[in-house]
Amino acid sequence: MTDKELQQMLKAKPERGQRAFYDKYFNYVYTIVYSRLKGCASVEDIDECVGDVFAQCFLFFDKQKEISGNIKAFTASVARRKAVDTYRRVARHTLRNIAIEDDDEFISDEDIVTSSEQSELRQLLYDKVEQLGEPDSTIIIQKYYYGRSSNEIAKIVDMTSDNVRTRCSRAIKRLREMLYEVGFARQGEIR
Amino acid sequence: MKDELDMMFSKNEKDIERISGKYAAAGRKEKEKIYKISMKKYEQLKAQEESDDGFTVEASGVERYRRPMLYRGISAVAATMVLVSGLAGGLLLAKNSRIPKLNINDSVNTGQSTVVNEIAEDNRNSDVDTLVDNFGHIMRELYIADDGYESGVGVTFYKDAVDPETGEMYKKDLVYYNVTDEKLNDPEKLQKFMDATFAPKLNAYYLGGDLSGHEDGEDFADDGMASRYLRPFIVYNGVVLADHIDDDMSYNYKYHEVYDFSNYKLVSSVFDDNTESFEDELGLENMFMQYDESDMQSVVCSRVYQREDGILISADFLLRKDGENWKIADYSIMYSTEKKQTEAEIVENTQPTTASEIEDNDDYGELQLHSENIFPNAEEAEAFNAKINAEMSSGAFKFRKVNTEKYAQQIWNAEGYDELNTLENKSYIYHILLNSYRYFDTADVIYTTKVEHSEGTAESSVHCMADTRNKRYYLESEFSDVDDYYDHVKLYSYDGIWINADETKKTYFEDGYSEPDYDLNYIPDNYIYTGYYGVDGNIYYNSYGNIVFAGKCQDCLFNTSESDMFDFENWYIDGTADILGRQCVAVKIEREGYSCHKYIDLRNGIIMQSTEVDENDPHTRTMTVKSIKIDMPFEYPYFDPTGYTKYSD
Repeated sequence: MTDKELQQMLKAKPERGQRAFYDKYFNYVYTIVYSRLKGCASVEDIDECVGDVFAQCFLFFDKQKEISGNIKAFTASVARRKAVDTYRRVARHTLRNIAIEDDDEFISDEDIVTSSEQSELRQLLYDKVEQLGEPDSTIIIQKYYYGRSSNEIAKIVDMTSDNVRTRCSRAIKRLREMLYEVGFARQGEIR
Repeated sequence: MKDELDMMFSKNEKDIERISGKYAAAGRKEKEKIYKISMKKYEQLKAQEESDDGFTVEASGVERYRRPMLYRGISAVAATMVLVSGLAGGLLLAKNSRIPKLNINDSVNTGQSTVVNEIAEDNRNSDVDTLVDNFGHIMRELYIADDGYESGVGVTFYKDAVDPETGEMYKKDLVYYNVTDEKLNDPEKLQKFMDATFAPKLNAYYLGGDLSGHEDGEDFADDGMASRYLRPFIVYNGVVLADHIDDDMSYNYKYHEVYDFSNYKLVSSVFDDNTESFEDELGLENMFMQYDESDMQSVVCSRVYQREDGILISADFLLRKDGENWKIADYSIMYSTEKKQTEAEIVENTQPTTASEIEDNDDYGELQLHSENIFPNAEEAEAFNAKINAEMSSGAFKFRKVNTEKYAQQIWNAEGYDELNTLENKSYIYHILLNSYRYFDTADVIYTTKVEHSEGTAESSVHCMADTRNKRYYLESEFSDVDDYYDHVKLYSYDGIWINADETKKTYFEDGYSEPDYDLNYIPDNYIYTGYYGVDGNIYYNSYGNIVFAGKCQDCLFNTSESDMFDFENWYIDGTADILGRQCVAVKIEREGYSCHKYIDLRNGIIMQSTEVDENDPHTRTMTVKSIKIDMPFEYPYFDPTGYTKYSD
């Protein structure tokens, strides 16, 4: 479904439109929120924040006579703002010793120093993960990007947690080999 | 190796897009759980919004205007005002004690002020006109907001703020975008414009400081000074930026609703030198103590404007004389929820045609009174037509049916030439002819034509079926003159195809056929024809044609009478008549060597009968509808090619 079709559906059939919008942008919103809140907010906080994002978007769509413009950019903006709100709320209650400077650092996109070289390496890494094929690539991404446990990953890929552990272990080994072949990792680091 | 795999996580936008585009961010159950959370939160937000609005209307009878964040500070003034409507057919604006009650019947030039004389008042009105235009301009959307979220042309700051409704502290983000408006897009122009518009305190309220020394994203926390320089307009690295609110679309929408003064009709303007009651509810006095306005001459100008849709806007301006010039020191804007109920009182000195619009309700479009657009030369006419084309393409023109019942009755009951031939009645007939096919959904009509000329007589019988909503048309004819091409041809148009079926040869021709969407090709009546003076001194016309069914059946359903009737001098209303149970108006068109008598259905513009006498090409032509069914379901006779041979041309 294109954004234009989605925009039309949101006005013509709001309930179906909302669901379609949710399905289309869930991964995107969740990932933005997660990337902002990783390490400082609980899973429940992240879920609530994602809920806040969609609720805000739905309300915004309701108010518009017609929905136009860059819906993806708008959604990303709401997600980033809500993540900041959640961070501040969480920080206020649990991280009182975090200074404003930390906060500023938090809202920056450059919280890991990303040189162009690192960015290229990351793209290479993603390429190689994709080459692992499913379900291994999903397992690796869930483990290393979203930080999920084997139990949590098992629910996503419909496998037992033992199977996830086994596949994950093998996938990491294969990934190391693939990365070594393209000079990503030094030989001594391969274990 | 662990380090390299940890590198997998990234906040980079490009990486987020790639990861979220390829992989599920959560399991199905978690996703559904979050969906339920979203819906629950959404319902809560919605209920909260409805509750807010309901309370406002219920409490005061006034639809509260939710100002954009930019002007939230100003709203306290408006919130104290009360607008009462519907008293004995009139409308009284009753505000709190600071402004005397204002009768809506007061006109601009007959304001009831007892304090100032009329000449001085006229001068001040002129000053206020300029100030209000400037003020409206400042309230506009001054940056490109369509994709502002992603454009990156702006900065964001944070500061602590108190939620006025809950009293709780929260972190307010102040997003600024680059001003693109040509009058205000550099610091010098902005300063000059604001200086000319606002008295010192309000000027300081709107104009923040140069924040180039602060990082994008800086949190001013509870810094009290932040309130002084994080104002609606700031300067950043030599660029003017304007405060932005989340729901930017409503911002622009509200501008047209409330602040677009230059496009509203000024109904009344009254001055009052007693300004004591215009209290300092903005807190400007405390915030900008260094600007002492106490010695300045002051006056309150209370204005009422009317939007095109009839909504009344109440605008009070506290003015102060700064040097030789009046400037706005404070303001309060409100609008009524009532529409058109009091238009009779407001426009008592205007044309009687406008008074009839009072009876229109909001379900109907407004009848455009006829006027000709004649330009001095072809270039200006072309420029005008280009503008109309652009507006049509952008969807600026929306067709809405006028109140046919009202005008039909008005014409049907009129007595005598003068009562029939008002500009309004003639404009209505012109309108209903131009837009006839927009006023019926289906028509199934049989009519006859007869042409008498020196060499004999030709007659025909035509059956035409039209489904204008689905664009399905059908026509078959029988001619007494067997040489007529269409004597043995049936015409079909549906689903984007056109078929000529030759009933004699049993052949058919099929081709694609389409017409512009009727909703998209609408142009208001007065823009259909534009004229200009040619170098020879003659007037030449351009026109937009609304082609329906390729111009077939134009004797009756899809008439082209407007070319004769564009010039209102060429025709008049001759009377009314009942034809086949339908109320019709008779019009007589007369020009050199030609006359035509037409009977037109008053409610849909269908020609029921006509007689043309043309002396230039001597002949008489009559058309008479024999039977007609309007807006009744019919079975469309789709073409069945069985037994026919297809040919290409």
